[in-house]
Amino acid sequence: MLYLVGFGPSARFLSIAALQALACADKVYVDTYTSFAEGLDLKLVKLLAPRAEVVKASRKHLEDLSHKIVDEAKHANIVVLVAGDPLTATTHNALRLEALKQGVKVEVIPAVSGLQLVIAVTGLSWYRFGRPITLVFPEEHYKPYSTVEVVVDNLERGLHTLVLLDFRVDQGKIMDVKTGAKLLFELAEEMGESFSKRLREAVMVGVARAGFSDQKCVAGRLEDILASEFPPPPHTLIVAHPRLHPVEEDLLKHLCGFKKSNY
Amino acid sequence: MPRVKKVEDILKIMKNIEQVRNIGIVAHVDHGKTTTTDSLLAAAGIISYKVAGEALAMDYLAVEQQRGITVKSANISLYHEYQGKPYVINLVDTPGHVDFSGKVTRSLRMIDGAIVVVDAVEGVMPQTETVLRQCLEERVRPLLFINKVDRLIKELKYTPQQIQQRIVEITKEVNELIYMYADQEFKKKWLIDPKAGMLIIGSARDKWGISIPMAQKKGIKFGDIIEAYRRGKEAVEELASKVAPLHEALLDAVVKFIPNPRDAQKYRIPKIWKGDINSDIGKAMMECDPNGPLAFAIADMRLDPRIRKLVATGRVFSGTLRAGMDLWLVNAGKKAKALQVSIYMGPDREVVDEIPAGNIAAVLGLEEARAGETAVEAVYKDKMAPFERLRYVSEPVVTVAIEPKNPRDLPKLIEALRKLTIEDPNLVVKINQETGEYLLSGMGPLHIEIALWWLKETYGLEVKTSPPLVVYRETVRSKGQMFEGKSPNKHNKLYISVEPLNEETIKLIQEGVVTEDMDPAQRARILRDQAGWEYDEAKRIWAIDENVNVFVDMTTGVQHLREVKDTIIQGFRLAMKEGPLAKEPVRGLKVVLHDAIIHEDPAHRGPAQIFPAVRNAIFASMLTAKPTLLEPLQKLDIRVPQEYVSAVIAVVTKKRGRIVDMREHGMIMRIIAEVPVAESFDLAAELRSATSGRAFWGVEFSRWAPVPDNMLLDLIKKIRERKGLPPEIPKPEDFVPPY
Repeated sequence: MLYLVGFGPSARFLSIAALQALACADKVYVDTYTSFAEGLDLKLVKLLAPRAEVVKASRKHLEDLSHKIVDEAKHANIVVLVAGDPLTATTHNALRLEALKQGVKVEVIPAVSGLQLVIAVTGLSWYRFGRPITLVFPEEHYKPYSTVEVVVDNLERGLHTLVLLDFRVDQGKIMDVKTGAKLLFELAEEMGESFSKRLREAVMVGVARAGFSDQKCVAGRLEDILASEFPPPPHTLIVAHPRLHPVEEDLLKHLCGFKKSNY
Repeated sequence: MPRVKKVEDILKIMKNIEQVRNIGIVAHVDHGKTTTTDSLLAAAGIISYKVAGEALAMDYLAVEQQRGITVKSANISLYHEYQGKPYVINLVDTPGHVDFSGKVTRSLRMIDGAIVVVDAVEGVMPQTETVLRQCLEERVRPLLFINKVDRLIKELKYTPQQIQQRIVEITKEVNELIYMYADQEFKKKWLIDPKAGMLIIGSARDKWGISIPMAQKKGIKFGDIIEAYRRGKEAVEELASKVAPLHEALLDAVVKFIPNPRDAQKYRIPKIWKGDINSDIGKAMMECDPNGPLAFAIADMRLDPRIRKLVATGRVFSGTLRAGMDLWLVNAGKKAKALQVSIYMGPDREVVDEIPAGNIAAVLGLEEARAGETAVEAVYKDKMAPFERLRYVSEPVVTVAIEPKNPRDLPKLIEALRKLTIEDPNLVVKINQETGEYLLSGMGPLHIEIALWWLKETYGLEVKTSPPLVVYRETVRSKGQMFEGKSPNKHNKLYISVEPLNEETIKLIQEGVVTEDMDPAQRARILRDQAGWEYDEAKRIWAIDENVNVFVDMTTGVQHLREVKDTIIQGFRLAMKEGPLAKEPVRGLKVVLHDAIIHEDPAHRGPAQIFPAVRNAIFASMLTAKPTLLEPLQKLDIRVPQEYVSAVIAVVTKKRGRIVDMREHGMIMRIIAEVPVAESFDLAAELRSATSGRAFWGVEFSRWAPVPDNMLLDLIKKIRERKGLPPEIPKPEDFVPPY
């Protein structure tokens, strides 16, 4: 049996179902590269899964050696423990599909998703969000212009965008919200006035460590984000449409120090 | 006798385009290119007249003097008077050794005419044919200098009739080549006409030379020359200084028959530049207009060890190059400033204020440029099409692993290798990711040897090297199946198949007729008309890599494909660098993308996901397409007395070689053979011993050919083991697992 278990954003939110799955696990793969959660370490996992062999899972384990995990799950209880909700990253759904194809039973234990939490923290309305998108680090022959396209496309429809920031634990490349916001503006600049104008009018919301005990969020212009102090990543950026619902606006004011007078 | 001219005088003449000529001297190795050059230098007053012949002024690298061959090009501006009128002749030195043919090709861009030097005894050799062909392909007009006539007189004791017969023979052979390789409109016009004075005979070492019109004017006969040699050294010197100085014979012919830059550019620009000749820059270059926009084609980048800066040498095709000018490097896509502009006066450069169109210039400040770059005035940034990519006829075929004797010198070695490859783009440096070894690849064992010498001499680096290894290529012989290449996260899928490119396509790419950066519609037309492609498919070429592989996108309406196009292309290039059989470069492959599924989000379709998907599908398909290795073959042109013919054939056959052609030249047999490079490391010794040293021969790269089937598996295994790979050839399932 293969259990895809969500750890949530923090050990404080661990579910009973998750604890049960861990308790009867023969082997636990702790996903260390798709995301990050408060209090998630091998010591805690060993405590919660006393029978199990506990393995730190790299990208190689989860992607290239996925067939090995599926094979093991044919005869044993295998848990893949994931920060946040277990099915938000591509990897885990691919693993689920591979198991199902081979007739291995899969149980998914959901958890509070980081994505949901980020939005909840800001007080912005669920119904106003367009397609989420990741902002990745530029590479030698590649700049992530398509991220700007999605953000501006959402803005043109009057929608907010959840911009996930590049998070590559295995390579030590983790994007903080200041870097992300700056990069987004630089890319828009390069793409032309129609893009950069839209971004300048928008409300930027920087969220750090949503769900952690030291979470923080700041809303305002790019300069406000750059001038603020954030605790270390994980961070997320929201680009909100400036025409906010009065309730959204008030919540942003109370939760994220938003000043309407700046707009 | 030496007419020393001041730089100011030279510059004044340079501005008058009718009084400028750009020439080079080309020859088979040891036929006397350097001694010929020195005779010209002496006449220009750059070095003493007496020491020409011994000084070898242009070979200012000691390694060349040791070997007596020229390795690195040097350039010089000469002064010559013809019929009372002053001329500046920009002489571009081109290397004579076969291994460096890439450089010959590059320097040809700078010149409008070439003196082809042929040894009177050895006659037309394989490299003579190669350089002559290259000249004609670039529309460089040839003149013929038959050198070492003194050997016919002193060693072979020929009579005047025999000498004449030998000269007629060589001229005829050269003319056959000109007729064969010249473009239609020059086939007849450029044939060497001895009566008109296009042929010079002489001895560069003894510094005399003469053409028929000159002989008639001065009343000299062969008998007089033979007589001078019979009388001794002084008589020969008299001949050289008073009666028939070589420089006079050569430079007169140059002025008379080589067109000035403006006349030459009219027919050369449409051939060597692919931009629009009706544009501002196009018109200015066709007219060689010094007041037009600046266009500067860089043929050579060299580190000046004294100032530790890179010197760009090239030809100003239009406009006037001035110090302080802001330039745009078209291929690099970068701005640069011409900090200093100079002309060549022997080993030194003379700084000048400006160099007008049609001349050769050396520029400091263009550190980002590489040989083959085109520089324009910064304001013409987006209006200049670059000169077509320089075509390299040869490809690296030999590799050595290299490490410093003292491990602490590694950073120094890395830096030195970087500079070496800037100066000589035909040297390739790679790092073996598994072993961390630095691998240096060149065009032949000698090329590598000289590079190593250079490391020691210039950078004081003592290095250890492995024995030379032959570089193979991987290719396929049939159409492969289509495979689904999955990204590690399985959310991206690429459907790819491979097939061999046909010979016509390979040739078009190799010759630079079809390039990656040309207009896609024009490229598609050429491929349709000359290589049998479907127009629609040819139009969809995404990439052409340096090892002659092509990537074609045949998908329709795939979402997000545009966002990952560059990543896919990069993945393709990487895969082509190390193929599935033995991690050797892939050659002659057509990769077709049929369909794709790309993830919505950039985080899930980055290089780490796309590269493996591209590579795995290509490799799996290659393994179903009758993959094989190609090995480099060398062409040997051997001259040997009749009685040794069978001995030569035996050696060639033993080396897995093949006789291509045999021709009788009097008592001498000319044998043309092809031998794999892999078998040729001790070929010289074997040929020498089999013929008691009576054979002489030339070597050049011939082509890539499939390794014989009965050797293939063994060879692959050996290469894999050497590289620390498992000995078994991978199977398609290893790249596209069934799960």
